[in-house]
This record gives sequence, structure tokens and C-alpha cells, in this order.
Amino acid sequence: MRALTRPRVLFLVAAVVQIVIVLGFVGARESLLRRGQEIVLATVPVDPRDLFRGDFVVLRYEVSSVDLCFGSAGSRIYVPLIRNGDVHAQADAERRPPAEDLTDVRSWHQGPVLRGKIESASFNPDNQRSCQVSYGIESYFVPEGTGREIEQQLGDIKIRVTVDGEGRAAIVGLVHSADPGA
Amino acid sequence: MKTDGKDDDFLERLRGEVSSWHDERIIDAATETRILSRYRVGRAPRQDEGRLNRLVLILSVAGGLLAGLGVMLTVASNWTEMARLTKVTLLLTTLLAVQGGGFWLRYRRGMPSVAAGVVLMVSLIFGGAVFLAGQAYHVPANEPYLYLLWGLGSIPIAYAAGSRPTLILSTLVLIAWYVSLLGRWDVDFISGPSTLALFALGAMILWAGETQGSAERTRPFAPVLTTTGLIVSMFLIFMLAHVEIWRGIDDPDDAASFGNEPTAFALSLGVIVVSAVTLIAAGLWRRRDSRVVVAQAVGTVGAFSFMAVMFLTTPFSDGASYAIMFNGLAVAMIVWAVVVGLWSQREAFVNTGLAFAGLLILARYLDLSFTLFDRSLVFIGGGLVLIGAAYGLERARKLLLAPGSTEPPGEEGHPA
Repeated sequence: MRALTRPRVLFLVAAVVQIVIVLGFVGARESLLRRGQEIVLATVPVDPRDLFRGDFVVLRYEVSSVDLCFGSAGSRIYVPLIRNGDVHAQADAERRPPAEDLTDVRSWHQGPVLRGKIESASFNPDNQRSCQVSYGIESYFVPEGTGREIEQQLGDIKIRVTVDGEGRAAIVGLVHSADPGA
Repeated sequence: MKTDGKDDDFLERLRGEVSSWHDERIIDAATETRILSRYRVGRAPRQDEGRLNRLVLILSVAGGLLAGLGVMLTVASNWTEMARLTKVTLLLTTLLAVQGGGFWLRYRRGMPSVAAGVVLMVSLIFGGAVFLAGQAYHVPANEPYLYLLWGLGSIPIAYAAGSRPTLILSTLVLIAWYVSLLGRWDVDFISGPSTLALFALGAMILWAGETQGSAERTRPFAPVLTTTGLIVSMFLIFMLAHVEIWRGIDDPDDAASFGNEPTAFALSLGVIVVSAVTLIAAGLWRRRDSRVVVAQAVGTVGAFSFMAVMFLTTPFSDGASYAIMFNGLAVAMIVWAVVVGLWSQREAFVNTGLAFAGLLILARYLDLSFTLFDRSLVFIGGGLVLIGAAYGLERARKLLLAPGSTEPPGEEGHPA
């Protein structure tokens, strides 16, 4: 058997680093999926021209549009959610407004909170500021050739999402409106 | 003499050194053979063999690229029938198998050129694994941290296996990460903050190369980083020398975006200052030619400061004035690169500087000519200008580099 010289050891260490990175990434996502609280979010139709980039569907949710938000584009935001029928929606923004700090939100809301990033801000017809927010759950990968079917159902389908105590979210799967559990 | 195979790097360096002593007629062929046989090392390839090695390297790198891209496309085809963990297991098994192949070729078969291609394939498959794992968990493909994981995971194996193609790939992936991060911060692609941030990144890569050039073990990788950093920095200035980039500057709404992103600006400033201090400290510690170290620091920090002043104070109301200023900066940077290259006797600086000189001449020629001549005449003239520029630049390069002729020893060392 040949000796493990320094270059060989370095090569093996570098190879192990790659394996550890992949396993660490998978472990973090699995942990989020297993430990997070499961909620269901309603989707809204998306402009079909923007819908496909390769084999995934671009998703937008009702909670993608957040009322009474005061952050600037690019900044982080925590959005408190409450159950509304069979889905979760933004909590009453007057009583439980979104905030840039999780601690603030936790002081008035113990339910699920989504952590997102403000994409843009505008004023709604009531002259209140609202934001478009992304949560890192806007892509749903689908088998090749099946995206159009999902595209036609957007608005009717819902997405099952898991969310942890820090507001990080991950997609669990699709919930069709015909689903009894939906 | 016994080495017990303890230091492959030493033996490879020795082989390269002894070969160059022979080429420079410091020793004769018999002495070369005696020295090498004392360490039980084979002779380094001669010029013809070197050409063959380069061909092997090109073939293996092309093969690695093709096979790696093929694996990435296969995994990207989204196997929904397969459970997530099965996909991950399959990916890791593939990655381990190709890593094993690279190790076997590099250290068991002693084929560093072929191994370089396989290690490049390892890095592509590793990137594929990261992105497929992301896909399995519905992580958007434009998430910046996926690029960061790919780049950070590829750098160690590039150094460990001595694969410069893999280091180039890793550097490009990290540049992609930085660009996607700027997008995440909602910084417009062409705006003050993103330009400063990218220039700072280029300077950081350049200085990383310069710092690595000071250490014997990392010196062979230095030209990759130095050249990449130079190209990124100079390309940005070249782009800013075009009047089209500045079209929105006289519109108050657009002008407001030139300098309104504190995160990107603060980070760029931090990167440029820390890198400058590191470069100077490493240069002083290694006792490099102080005028080269100072020229490098002054040139890059000076260009950054100039750009920062332009973006933060927006002193002009028309795009043409900015274009003129940045053409001036581009010329200054070209002169700077050539002078630093001459002082430090490195072709990378001279070649990059002269290449950008050619690009700048062509760009300005096209700017002027399209409004004056028929298009066909423009192309004929452009072709002649290019050939003339190439002749002039090649002649200038030869004249400039003639006395030393001269990458420093070791820069073309053992890594493939």
C-alpha cells in the first residue's frame, strides 16, 4: 500500500469538503422540512409570459403582497400569518403589522411567521403602502412537460409549506383544490 | 537519495528546475540524469513533449467540460419519480466515483494533465449536485448561496489537485455569486454601487493572485487569479468608457440610482481597503520590489477612488462627459498595467493591458466611423485597424519584454 503523502491527503480532504457541503445543504433543508410547522398558502395567477424558466413554475402567493410594510426594496421583512379557512394569510396588518425585526413580530404574534425580502413597494388604492415580498418558495420544480397543466390551475391550487421558528420556509408539495385535505 | 515518496510536490518541482537548468545550459544532460536518478525521478518533458502534454491537457479539459456538463444536464432533468434522498445518494455516488478517478489518475497513474480534466469534471458534477439538491428542495436556481457553495467547494480541490482549469471555473462561479448577490440587494446592473462592487471584486482577485505569487507553494496558481482580476477590473472601466452606459445620467430618476445602495458601496470600500493592506503587508513581508507593490496598490485604489467620486458626486449632467473621463481612466489603467508588467517582468500585465488598448482603439474607431462612412468601409477599415493594432501591440510587447523575456521561474510550474 502506498503512503498517503501530503498532496494526496490534501486531495482527499478537498474531496471530503465537497461531500460535506452537499450533505450539510441537504441536512439543513431536511431539518427545515421535518421540524417546521406545516401551513398551506393560496397561490394567485401569474402572468403566463413570466411563468416558465426551464422546468419549474414561478409561484406567487396571496401573502406575496403585504399590506402596511415600511421597509425599502431589498430589506428583510417578517410577515405574521393567521389561519383563514383552509389556508394561512397575512394577519390583520392594523393589529399585527409586519416588521423588519422578528423580535418585534414575536411580541404581538405567536403563530407562524414568514421571513421574506421586499422586492418592491407601492401604494394601494386606500393610499396605504404595500410591498411585493419573496420568501424563497417561489419556484416549484416539475417533471418535464407538465408545467402547463399546473399553470392552468394556478389560483386553484395551494402550496403546502413548512416554516420554522425563524420564519424560514420550504415547499413540501402541491395541494389540489379537489384534495379533501386542502 | 531516499525520499520515501514523502513529497510529490518537491519531486515535481525538482524535475522542473533541473529541466530549466539544462535548458539554460547551467548543467549538461549527464548531470541532469545523475541528479534525477539520485531522487528516482524521470526527466521532465522536452519542448515537443511539452506540446504533447498541452494537447493532452486541452483534450482532457474539453472532455471534462463535456462530460461534466452532460452529467449536470442529466441531473437537471428533474427525476420526480425518485425520492429526494435517492437522488442525493445517486449524486454523491457519482461525485465520489469521479473524485476517485481523479485521485487514481493524479497519484496512482501519474497523469496530472488527464487528472486536471477529470478534476474539472469533479467540480462541474459537484456544482450539479448542489443545484440538483436545491432543485429537489424547490430552492430557486438564482439563489446566490448555491453559487457560493459551488465555488467554495471547488477551490480546495483545485489547489489540492493542482488543476488551474478548476481554479478558473471556481473563480468564475464566485464572480457569478457576487453578481447574483448584487441582484439580490436590488442593485441595478449598471449603477454606481454594482460597478464599484465588481471593480473591488476584480481588485481583490488580482491581489489574491499577487499575494499567492509570494508563496512558493501557491505561486503556480497566481497567474490565473492575477489575470482574471485584471480582466474583471479593466473590463468594467472599458464598459464605462462607452457613452451608451451613461444615457440615463441626465434623467433625475435614473441619476438617483447612481450611488444609493449603501450595502454594496460599504462592502466594496471594505474589500478594497482590506485587500490593499493585505497586498502591501504581504509584499513587505516577502520583500518584493516595493515600487511594484506601491504601484499596484496606488493604481487600483486610485481607480476605485476616481470611480467612487464620479458616482457619488455625479459632477456632470451629460453622458458624454462621463464617457470622456472614463476613456481617460481606461488609458491610465492600460499604461499602469504595462508599467507594472515591465517593472515586475510579467507578461500577464503587459498582455492584458495591450489587449485592452486594442479593444479601446477598436471601440472608439467604431464610435466615430459609423456616423461617417458606409458600413462596408467601416468593416474594411476596422479590419485594417485591428491588424495594424495587433502588429503594433505585438511589436511593442516584444520590445517591452525583450530584455527579460520572462514570467518569473515557477509561474509555469507543475500544476496542469
